Amino acid sequence: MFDIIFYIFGAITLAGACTTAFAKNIVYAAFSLLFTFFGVAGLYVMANADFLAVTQLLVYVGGILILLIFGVMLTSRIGAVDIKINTGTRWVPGVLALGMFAILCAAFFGTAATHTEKTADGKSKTVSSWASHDTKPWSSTTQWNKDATTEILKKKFGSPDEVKMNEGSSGTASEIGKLFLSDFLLPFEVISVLILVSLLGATMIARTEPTPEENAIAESVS
Amino acid sequence: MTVGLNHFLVIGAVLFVLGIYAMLSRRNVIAVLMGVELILNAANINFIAFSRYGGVNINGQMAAIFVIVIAAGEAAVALAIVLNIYKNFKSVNPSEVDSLRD
Repeated sequence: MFDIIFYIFGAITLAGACTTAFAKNIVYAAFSLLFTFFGVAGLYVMANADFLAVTQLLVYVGGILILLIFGVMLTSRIGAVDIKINTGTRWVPGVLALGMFAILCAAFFGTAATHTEKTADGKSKTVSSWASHDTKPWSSTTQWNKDATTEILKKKFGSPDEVKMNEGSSGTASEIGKLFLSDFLLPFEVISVLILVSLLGATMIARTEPTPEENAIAESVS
Repeated sequence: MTVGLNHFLVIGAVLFVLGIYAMLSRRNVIAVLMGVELILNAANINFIAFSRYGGVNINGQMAAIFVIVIAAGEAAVALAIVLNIYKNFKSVNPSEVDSLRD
């Protein structure tokens, strides 16, 4: 059942991405991006990242996709043939992309998932290269630092070590929220300043200069 | 064959390659930006796959959240720049924007 749903979401994702990459009409490309983002959100759910799936839907589908469609509508002359994207030379990027895919696949399948290791008594045994390469969901082995913030959070929310992220739990949102206020506090603040500055800068860049008549009207009002 | 780490990685790789192809072959800046979004999604899929199967635990999800936030900021700034390019050049073809070339 897990496999079937995974393949369905993967097919949705890849079909949308193919249409985005190959469609002649840029409006089709923008709308097929919706299916890609939806499929990727489904893949996040398959990998136990429920909070991230919701964030993906909110930010990508609700924000970035709308921005892109606005960009398409604002920069193409409606009714002109210009709305079609004339694709340029196809084989150079195609060869580059296929070569990169070959390198990536060689890296994925050439890297052994298991390797042999000498145990203390001299016998060699096969162990997983990854820390938990089995299909078990990750358990609460997150490293917690012991600073004051964590202590406060412990008093308020209970010990974070007791948070079990297995089936039937309340999901990852609470754990992510605690991490944002403890281990990831500095990146969180830095990235909030970053997105504030970038959004302000975007509005500053995109706004149109007032014409002299508008300046005169503004001065007469004030 | 049960779904494991490699399935997620291959889907991420295909998304990445399609994004690279869209970035290189498109003649419209907005379509190039769509390629960038595909690449960022591919990176996120890798983060999530290693968070689930690779022992990175929830730190991988934190990295993916930061990637999503940066993607939002990047899309806003890039579209503002594209609107200005369209205003000045009356075109969104990246190879026609070459004023600095002598």
